[in-house]
Amino acid sequence: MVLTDGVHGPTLAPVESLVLNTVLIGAAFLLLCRPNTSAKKEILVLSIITLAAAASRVLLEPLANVQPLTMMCLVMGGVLGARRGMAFALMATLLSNAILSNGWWTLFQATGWAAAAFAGSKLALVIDGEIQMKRLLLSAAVASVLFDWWVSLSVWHSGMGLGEFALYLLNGLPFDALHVIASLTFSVWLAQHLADLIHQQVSLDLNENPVVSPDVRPN
Amino acid sequence: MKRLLLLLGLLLLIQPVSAAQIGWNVDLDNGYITTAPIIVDDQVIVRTSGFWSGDQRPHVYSFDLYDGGLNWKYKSESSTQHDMTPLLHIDSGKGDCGWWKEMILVGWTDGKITALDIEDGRLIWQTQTEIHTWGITGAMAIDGDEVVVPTRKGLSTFCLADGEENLRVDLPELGWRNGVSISEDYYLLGNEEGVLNKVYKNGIVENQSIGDGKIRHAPLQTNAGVLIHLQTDSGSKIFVDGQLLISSGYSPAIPIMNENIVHLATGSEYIILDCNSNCSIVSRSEFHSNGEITLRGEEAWLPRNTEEGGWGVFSNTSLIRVHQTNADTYTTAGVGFGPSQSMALGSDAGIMFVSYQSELDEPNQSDYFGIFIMMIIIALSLVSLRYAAILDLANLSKYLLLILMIISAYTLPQVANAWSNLIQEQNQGGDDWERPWDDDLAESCEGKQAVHIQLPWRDYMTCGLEGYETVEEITDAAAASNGIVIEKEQHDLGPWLLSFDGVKEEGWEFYIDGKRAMTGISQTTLKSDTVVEWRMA
Repeated sequence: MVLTDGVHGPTLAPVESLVLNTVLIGAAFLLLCRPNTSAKKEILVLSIITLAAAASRVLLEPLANVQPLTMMCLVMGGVLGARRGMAFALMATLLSNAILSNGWWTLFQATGWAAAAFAGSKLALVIDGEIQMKRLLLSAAVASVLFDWWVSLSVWHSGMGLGEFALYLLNGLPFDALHVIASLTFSVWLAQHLADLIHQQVSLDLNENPVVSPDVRPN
Repeated sequence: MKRLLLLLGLLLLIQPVSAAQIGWNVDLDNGYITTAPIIVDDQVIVRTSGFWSGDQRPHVYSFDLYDGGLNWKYKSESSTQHDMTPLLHIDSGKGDCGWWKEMILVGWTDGKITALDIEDGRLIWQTQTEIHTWGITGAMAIDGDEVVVPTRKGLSTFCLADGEENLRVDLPELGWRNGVSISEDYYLLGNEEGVLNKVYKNGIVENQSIGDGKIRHAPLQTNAGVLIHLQTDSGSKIFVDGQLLISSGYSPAIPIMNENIVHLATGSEYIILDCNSNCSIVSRSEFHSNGEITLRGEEAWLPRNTEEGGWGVFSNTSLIRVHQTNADTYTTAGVGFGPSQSMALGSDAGIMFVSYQSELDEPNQSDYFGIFIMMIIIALSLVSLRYAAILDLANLSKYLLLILMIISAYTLPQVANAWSNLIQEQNQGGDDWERPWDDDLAESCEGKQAVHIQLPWRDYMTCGLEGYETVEEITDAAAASNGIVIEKEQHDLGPWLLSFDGVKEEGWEFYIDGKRAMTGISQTTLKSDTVVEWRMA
């Protein structure tokens, strides 16, 4: 959900912001640092995809709640696994918020998209390089709404009652709907290409990436 | 390629982000601001005054109204006293003694009069009048092609074209802030002995003792007679044609008249007189003002010469509010008003605050944008039809989803606003909200639109507003009239308020009649008695 009146929860003091960024970057670094990964080319490709994801968020920011990152996190989680998918989510959020605006909400956005990446890794969204479109569409729709509600918690402060917060969520439903529609659109248009790109350029960490046997493939 | 084109189309949906800042301030380096800045087209011109020592000297500055950039400045090398003669803007013209450019006339306490080119501050001409410790301290006036200058012990007129002196009359008594007023046949000015001098244009002088006191303003020529606010040892007295009308408090302000309604003030009250036939008292309100009163429409702005400072804004006879800045102190300077609801003001703190109404919206931009969106949708629909014809449901659904997303994104502001209004209507009920004004302001606030802005150092209450349709409009107006600088950012959903006077803190929230608004400032509409409150998140 996006607030429409210019308030997006509390901004952070420089020290608080530094701590938040340090924690998030540290988490992303730990998630990425696995001993058996990554050739220079893979690092380059993953970095470019992360930059592209952040850039797409920045470019589409004026279109309220059109968030390509939700779909990308699901697919990245599905293809690369939970660890690297979550690292991707954290980095893309931090990079884009460095331009858009950083604050308390960054924590919620970063964890929200990391959760989407984690979910993507557990839902068998990509099998043998093929996007399971029905499953992805359903996941994208649910993840979009849950992500919005999770991020909305960043504006909940001590003076806000439960009823007022519920009213706030209710007001945001049109924004949630747009997030869902956008995620579905990005899924059908871009998800397979993103998965193909990663498969072609990055050697998958099979220890991490779930291997789904044919007999448990979703319909 | 097809996808690239679609992506480009999507990116074109993005409207540029622009920031609108509708005010600025500038510290004039130790000098007081004792007289009103003046706004001419896109220039703000102000002078500093003070008791100068060392290398410090008074200046006249010209700034760009909209961005605060310095256009030019002029420094007096020889004026070392407290300069308080109001600046005079002169349009270009010609008369018997020649033609002149548009210029600013400045009277100095070293007795000089300087004519400055308004374009670049260049000195056009300069002339010298007499000095008796001080030089010129009163308001000059324009009479045809001449400037009439009240000097310490006399009166001179100078040609606007070249500063040539046309008339000089010596008077026996000293004057101080002894502004001059003009009629068809003569000039009027007072002095420190309570004498009103009538100087005919042929140089003949008549005088009349008004009383035991000092005349420190330009006499006002009303329908009811010449009005003098005499400063006395025990307070002040207001005379009309030499007859005492009323007594009042200490240290009179410089009175001002519009259509024979006279506005006066002292250290204790603000007085309005109706002098259309015989001067009668319209109102007397408690207020402390000793400086220049400024009129703007129905409003009178009175500089408050106390430590708290600010300007009392009266509408008719009621004090609507006290306009304040974050550098308030003793204040005697009036307010300069100009185009785009601009205004410039300053106090003894020497900081000038300028604000104006910004124009963010460009007409018809949204129309072109809507047409563009429509063209994209039509193109995508044609492609969809093609896939529908061959029953390619996979591609058909892709295009339909894209169309749906574009339409949703484009209509989201309207949809969200309508949805929010619907929810707000459903949730209206009783509340314990207390209106943000005290009893003193209740009369002017009740039943009309009002804005309350809570800055960390002060609350600004603006009452008695009418006709504003959105929160953005009324907030802009309230901020402009209070000299508060607003910073906004333009987003697709509409403008987003970032800060008041640079204060961002944790963001700003606005409340409508005590309830937190859920829509944007340009979408939230107002009723005729809506109270908008801005609070820090």
